Order: sequence, then C-alpha cells, then structure tokens
Amino acid sequence: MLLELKEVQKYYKDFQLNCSMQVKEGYVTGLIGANGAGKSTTFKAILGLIQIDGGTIERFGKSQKEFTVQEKAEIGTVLSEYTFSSMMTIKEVTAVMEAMYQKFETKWFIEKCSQYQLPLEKQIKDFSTGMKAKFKLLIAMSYKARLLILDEPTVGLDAVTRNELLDEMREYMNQEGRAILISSHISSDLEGLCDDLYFMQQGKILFHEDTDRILSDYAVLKVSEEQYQRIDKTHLLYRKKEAFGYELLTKERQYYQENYPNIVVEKGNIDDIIILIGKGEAV
Amino acid sequence: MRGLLVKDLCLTLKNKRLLVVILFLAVMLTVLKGETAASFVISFVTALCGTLVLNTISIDEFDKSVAFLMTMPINKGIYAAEKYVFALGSGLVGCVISSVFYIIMTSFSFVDILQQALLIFFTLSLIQMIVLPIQFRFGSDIGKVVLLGGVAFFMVSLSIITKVGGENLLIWMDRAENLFLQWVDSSEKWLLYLLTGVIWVIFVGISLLVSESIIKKKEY
Repeated sequence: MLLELKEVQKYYKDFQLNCSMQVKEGYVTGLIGANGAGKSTTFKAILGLIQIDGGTIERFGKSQKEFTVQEKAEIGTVLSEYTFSSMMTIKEVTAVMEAMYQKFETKWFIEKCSQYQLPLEKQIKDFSTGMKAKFKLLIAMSYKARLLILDEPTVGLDAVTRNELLDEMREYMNQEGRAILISSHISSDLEGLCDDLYFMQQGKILFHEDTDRILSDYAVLKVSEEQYQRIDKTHLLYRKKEAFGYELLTKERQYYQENYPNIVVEKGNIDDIIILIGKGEAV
Repeated sequence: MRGLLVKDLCLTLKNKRLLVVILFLAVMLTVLKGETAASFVISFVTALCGTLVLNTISIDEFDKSVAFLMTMPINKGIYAAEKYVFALGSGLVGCVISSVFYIIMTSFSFVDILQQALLIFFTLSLIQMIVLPIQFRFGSDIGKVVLLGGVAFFMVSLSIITKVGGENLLIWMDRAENLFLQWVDSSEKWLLYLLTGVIWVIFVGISLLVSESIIKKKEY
C-alpha cells in the first residue's frame, strides 16, 4: 500500500471532509467528484499542506510522524492552482530541481520539454494552459517518484493535449512499484486510465469500485412509476426521479437484463454514476 | 535548502537592473564623496542587498508557489531557515563587496573598514531579524504597513517618554551613555566582539524560532 487514508477529517466553516481511501502499488486510482466535492482538500491533506482534524494518513506504510522530509522526494505532485513561481524559466526550474532532488533526471526532462515544445528560456507566466499542464506533469515525473498525486492535471486542455498527458501517465506506470492517484471531473480521462475509482461528494467517499466492473456490470435502468413499484430493489444503489418515472443505478446489469426484458437498461458509465449520485438518492 | 537558495538566487538575479543601479550609485558616491561617504556607501549597499530577501518572500506569496514548494523535500522550518540564510548571506555579500571596493578605492585601512563593516552588518541583521517575522506573519503588503506603524509607534512613544521624563530623564540617559562608552573603552576588544557575536546569535535564533512558529501554523 503506497497511500492509506483512514477516516481523515478536516472541518471548515461550510465544509467537512471525512474520507478513507487506499492507493495500492501498481494501481492508478481515480478520485472523481463534482467541483467542490473535496478532491483538492483531500490532496492537500495527503501532501501535508493542511492540518487534519482527525484520522490518519500513511504514506509508504509510514505514519505522519515517521514520514521524513527526504521521503517527500518519493512523491510527485501536480496541483491545479500551484506550481513554481511564474517568473521562472524551465532552465531555472531545472537548476532548482537538480539541487532539490538527487534522482532528478535532467536529460530526460530536457528531452521531454523539447518533445512537447516547451521553451527553456521563456517565463512560465507566458506559457499557454496546455504548456503549463505539460510542464507541471513533467516536473512531477522527472525524479522517479514512486507515487504521483495529480490534482486535475488535464483540466482546461483540448482532447489532443489531454491524450498526450494520459499517454505519459501510462508510460510512467510501466515501471514496477509505482502508483498514481489522480483527480478529475472529466470522466473519459479516468475511464481509460484508472484501475479503480473513488466517488466523492460533499467531503465523503460515497463508493469505491474497480473501473472494469463499473463499465461491465453497472447500468442505468429507466423505468416508469409502475415498473418501479414491481422491480426487485435489492440490487439498486441510487434512484432519481424523472418525468417518465425513475432512473436507477445498479451494479447487476445482467440480472436486470435477464429478469426484466421490458426495462430500458443502459450500460453504465462514470458520468451517469456521478449524476445519479449527485442528483439522486440512495435506495 | 540548496534548491530553495538556487530558486531565490534565480529570482533575485531577475532584478539585474536594480543590482546595476545599486552598484552605480555606490561607485558614484565613492567618486563624488570619497572617504567621507564610506559609512554611508557600505550601509547603503549592505541594506539594499539585505532587503533582496523581502522580494523573494513577496514573489513566493504573490505566485502562491509556497504551497508547491511545500510538496518538495523541504518543510516549513527549512523554508524559514533558508530565508534567513539568504537574508544574512545577501547582506554579507553586499557588505563585503562594498567594503573591499572602499579599501581598493580609498586610503582606508583594512582594520578601519572591517570595524565599520561589522557594525553595519550587525545593525542590518538586527533590523532583518525584526522585519522577517513580520513579513511571514502579515505578508508583503500588510507587513510594510505594520513595520511603518511599529516605527511610528516607537518614535511617538519615545517622544512622549522624553516629554514626560523631562530634563531628569535626559540627564539619566546621558549618564547611562557615558557609562556604557567608558565600559566599551576599557574592555578588551576581543571581549566586545565576542559579546556582540553572542547577542547577534541569540537575536537571530529568537527571530528564527518566531518565524518558524508563524509559518508552521500556515495552511495552503
């Protein structure tokens, strides 16, 4: 286990975080939720940028007290709002990284910057959104970190750039002993990349599932009021009232397909789940 | 800490124009005023170099890059300590360069300049040790207001105390000053330097501890 959060709590005036999650070695774990769900707060807690009010966080099996400053070099980070000073250039950042990280791979980093056409002498504040996103990800991957914590690394990017960055992450995971925790509200990114997903809303983890299982076994049922009264509700997770009746989330697609041939059964995807969890109610 | 020093050096060198202006003013004052401006030029250059650290704190704050820096293999204590190292280091560099310049350009002896330079560096350091925790606590903009407010409060208080104390107070202060100067003249120089060094270390230590405790409470 590279990362484990046990009932981590953080209280703000209008928001409370209370979550538990794990990131296993060799896994790409996604954290998905709407804006304001608590994803960034969770990441800040993991990275020690905020004090938690309860619970424990273990990084590489070590408690917060045991985790040393030097071991932070095993974590690569992309934060949505923060990076190096915008007045710096890549050349200057390279000098800082070489001084900061023993395992910083200067040659790899410069080659990747060249590959993605990131100018070495230009200040970061003059980069486009796509360039900044690539820069931040390359920085995070440049010193052989075992764990990548990526907070919305692809937000605001076009499809081509997003795909490029996702490919970099896949390539990064080719090496053993690594893991990625990535947050996003772009479900298509996570569907293609993540092994498992945590769904978060209002600071709580609502559920956790393997991505393959979501795509194969989860489904959205569209039923009329009458059909809803008759249907077996044992395997229903969430429901949402609609004009035609109800939309229902289930993780037993095959069961309902075989036993209720008249019901509309649509294969589940992450967006559906987010909507049903966000707008619906638990059954 | 080395990475943070590299970062702050990179940010400082972006102010090349400012550094050139400092150098130009120092040279001009030396040429125009000669030996009489020694104290002023060394103080001026040392002070300007010593305040370069405040720019780096401002930039970190403006860009919110401190949050990202805290994800790197440093902690808040190291961040604070690096600012102190950079502040004292840049002040020292300014002091040394201006002092060497004066030794070369004028007939001042090395010992004379060294004594002046040490006193100037000591005084600047004490000011830095007061300014840095204020910067960390209140940030760049409000920190300047707080500092000005503090200076104004000090001046007003001094004025009030002097007025209330009247002539007796002035006589007492004069006596205290004379006693102090007598003690300085009669003491061994090495003892004075040692005592100054100890006071300096204590002051720096207290200031650093205060800054650390301020930064440790911050969340990003």
